[in-house]
Amino acid sequence: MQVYKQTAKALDVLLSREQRLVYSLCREEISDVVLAQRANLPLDFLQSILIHLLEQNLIEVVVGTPNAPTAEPKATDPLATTKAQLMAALEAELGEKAKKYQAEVEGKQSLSELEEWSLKLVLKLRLTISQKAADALEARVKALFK
Amino acid sequence: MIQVLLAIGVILMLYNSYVGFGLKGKAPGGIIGERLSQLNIFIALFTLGYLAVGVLTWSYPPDTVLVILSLILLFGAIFVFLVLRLVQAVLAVLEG
Repeated sequence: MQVYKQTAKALDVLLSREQRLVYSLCREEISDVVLAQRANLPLDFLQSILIHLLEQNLIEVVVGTPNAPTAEPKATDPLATTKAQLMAALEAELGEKAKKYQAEVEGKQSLSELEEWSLKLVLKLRLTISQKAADALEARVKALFK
Repeated sequence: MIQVLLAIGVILMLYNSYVGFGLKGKAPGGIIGERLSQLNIFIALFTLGYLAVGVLTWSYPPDTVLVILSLILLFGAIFVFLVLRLVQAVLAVLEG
């Protein structure tokens, strides 16, 4: 885990939507794990964005951050991170209805179990709730587990 | 005989209407929800049709054509009942 922060360099290059989101989140010192949760991006994709921003000298790695959250070692668990990202995706697509799935998400013991459950949920949404929401959630789930 | 067959058909269709509109609450949208809306409209129309046939032919003397008609209507009601049972089973699997 590393902590990043924006540099003083002005933003004078064209960035993609995700890159701009990550750049703006780095206004304050923030770890890559928290960044992945807030930006709702897979860690490997986030790493590529961070590398690009580092190359552009738009952000820097902060060493020994004084305000490092104490719960972060727990958050490095990929299962916990994926659960958080999945819940964020569900809330984005289903709004308040997403809360009723929280207990089921928390109950999953492995990534494969979580992926299988997510795909079943997509199927259930497609058949009984909304095809549009199901398509959007499927895209997010595929990005999450690729 | 004809009246009994028609009465069974009408009762079954009224039950089908009740089940069909109840299922809509479990699947408000999606593929099943959309098809269920269309299915419910036709179930309601068929129920009205059954009632109309029952009222119009109640005093008719029994003949072969009316027996065949009432049997077709009854089997139609059974068909709708089976379709709804299938939808119920699919929703139960999705819930599980």
